[in-house]
Amino acid sequence: MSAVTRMSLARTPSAISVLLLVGTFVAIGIIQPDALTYDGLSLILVGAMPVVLATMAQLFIMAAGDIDLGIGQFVGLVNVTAAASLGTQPGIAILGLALAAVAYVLMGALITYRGIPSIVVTFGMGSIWLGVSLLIMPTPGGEAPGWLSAAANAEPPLVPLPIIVFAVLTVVVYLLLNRTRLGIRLRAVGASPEAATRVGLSVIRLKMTLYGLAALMGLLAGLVLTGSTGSGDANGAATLVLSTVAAVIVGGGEFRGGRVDAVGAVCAAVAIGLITSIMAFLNVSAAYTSAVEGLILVVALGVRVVAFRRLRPPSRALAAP
Amino acid sequence: MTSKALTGSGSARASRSRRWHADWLPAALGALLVWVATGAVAGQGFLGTLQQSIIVASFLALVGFGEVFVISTGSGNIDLSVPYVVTLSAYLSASIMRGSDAMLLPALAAILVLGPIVGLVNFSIIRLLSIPPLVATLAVGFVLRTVVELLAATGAKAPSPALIHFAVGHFIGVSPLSLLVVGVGIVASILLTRARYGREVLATGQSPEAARLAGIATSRVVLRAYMLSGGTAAICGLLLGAYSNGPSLDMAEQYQLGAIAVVVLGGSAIAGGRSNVAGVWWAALLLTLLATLVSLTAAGPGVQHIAEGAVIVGVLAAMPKR
Repeated sequence: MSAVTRMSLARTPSAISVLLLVGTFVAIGIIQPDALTYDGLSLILVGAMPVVLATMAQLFIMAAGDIDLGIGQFVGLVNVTAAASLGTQPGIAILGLALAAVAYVLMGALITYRGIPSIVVTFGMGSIWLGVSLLIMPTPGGEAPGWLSAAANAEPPLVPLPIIVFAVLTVVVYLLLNRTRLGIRLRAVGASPEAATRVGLSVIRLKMTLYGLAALMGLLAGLVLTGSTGSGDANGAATLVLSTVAAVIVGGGEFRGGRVDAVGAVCAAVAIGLITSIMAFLNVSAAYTSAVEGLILVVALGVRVVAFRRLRPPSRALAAP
Repeated sequence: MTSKALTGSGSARASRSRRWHADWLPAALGALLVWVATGAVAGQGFLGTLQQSIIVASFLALVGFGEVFVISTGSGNIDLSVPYVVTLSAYLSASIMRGSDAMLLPALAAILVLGPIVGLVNFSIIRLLSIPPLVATLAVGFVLRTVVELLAATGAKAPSPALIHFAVGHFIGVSPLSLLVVGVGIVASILLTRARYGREVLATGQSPEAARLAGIATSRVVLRAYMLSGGTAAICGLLLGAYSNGPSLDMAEQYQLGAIAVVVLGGSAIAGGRSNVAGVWWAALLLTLLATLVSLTAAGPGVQHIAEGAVIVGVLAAMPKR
């Protein structure tokens, strides 16, 4: 790789994930050209929507300099709540979802105020989300309200719904974090809480804002999941967490310093979501799925590091989040 | 002035070391409380409940003894591949033993190679590719998961009768398995607090830069920690497979959160550099008794998950600010 390429890669940390996404589409085009039509794209991308939304939740938490190991269970909680009662008792369901979001914000306040490790707190809270989900729905079932299924499977003219969702999400999150006063403050908190305090920002309030934004994304992810699958499963989204963390990092984010990149994270999340679809096309046995996912993460992250190696000093201290 | 500064720092160090040794106390007190509550409702009485819980807690404590070394090296080091190593070890050992005592030693040898090799792979990916340990070890775990599923689909699997006898048996009212685990804990504790390696682990966890400047080969220290964690997870798998009379795919599910929870609840710092091995054992007992208590109330898995999560978050929130 030439020095020039390396320079431009370092300036745009999302480059690797954009390449990964393009590569994934090329692979799909070669394996199954029909997948690149309107219907094909809708079909393979609809499953990636919850992953992408959950990745945005993880992105806000990582922008706070923390990490969320319970996001999968939170999405699961939203999923079972929506499938169990959003159609029949919408008032109670909406109240429950609002309470869950408030609990999320309070979790952020607790982590910040007590200075306790987010990695363990969110892990523990994940256990609580899962427990509540199992109380609501011990076995998979329920039914998505009609309007939610219709919304998640809507067919807008020309461009498939998931692509519109991804594009809008990327633009909104990018503008929020990089082009607004609030966004600059939010990123400052993750980059250096001490500096943020010195210039008079309220770290706890800004961190609560980030956790609130994450909860919002988690809610959307759970609702979209419910709409696209049509039912609820407490454990259904538990494996999301690795994909979300990996997507933020492959997309140019870092554990330390609240460095995140919305464009890169969305591209990486879509690519990771699509890889599952490719394996389905190739009739890969279900037993290999987890190995392939693990290997792809290692390769994607490895490529990113090798591409950057000459430019940045190797970060030996890989951040206790 | 100088002497005052010296006494000041001396007493600070003394009080710090007192706290150090008492770090396991909250977990131990919690375990005793839950024991009293559980013993009161359990059919087998206080002693029977404790005996049973100590055996079940031994498996969790064992993986915690390895995890505590990894977490103590700091810099975000953590081993999330533990539950996958436990399951793979259980399957691998059972398919080597096939119910024969003669194959017990070969099986033991195989898993004692397997565990440290996984640790080596974890470390290599983390160091050579600069991948955060959290993601790297989980990715390695995902690959192991596939190996387990492929292995599960082949041939006969059964632990050796002698090993089962060792895992479930009692000797004058005491389970040899739990004694073995307590022994491993004592060795781990001495290794961490008295041996050169342990001092190097803690120094690396407190400040990798300072440790390197002091001439410690920090890479080797971290590598050995991952190999130790792989090793204890592999031994746990061998024993747990025998205890449950054969492996199953989700046998180690609770060790994903559990292995880390016992380290943190036991009074070790998640950021590394401060560790307590006794606390790991007590925290494992606490979580096991809690699970027993919840299952006795017939409240179902939902309440059990909520109780576990609440204890972890509650204890962390109640810990004194450092």
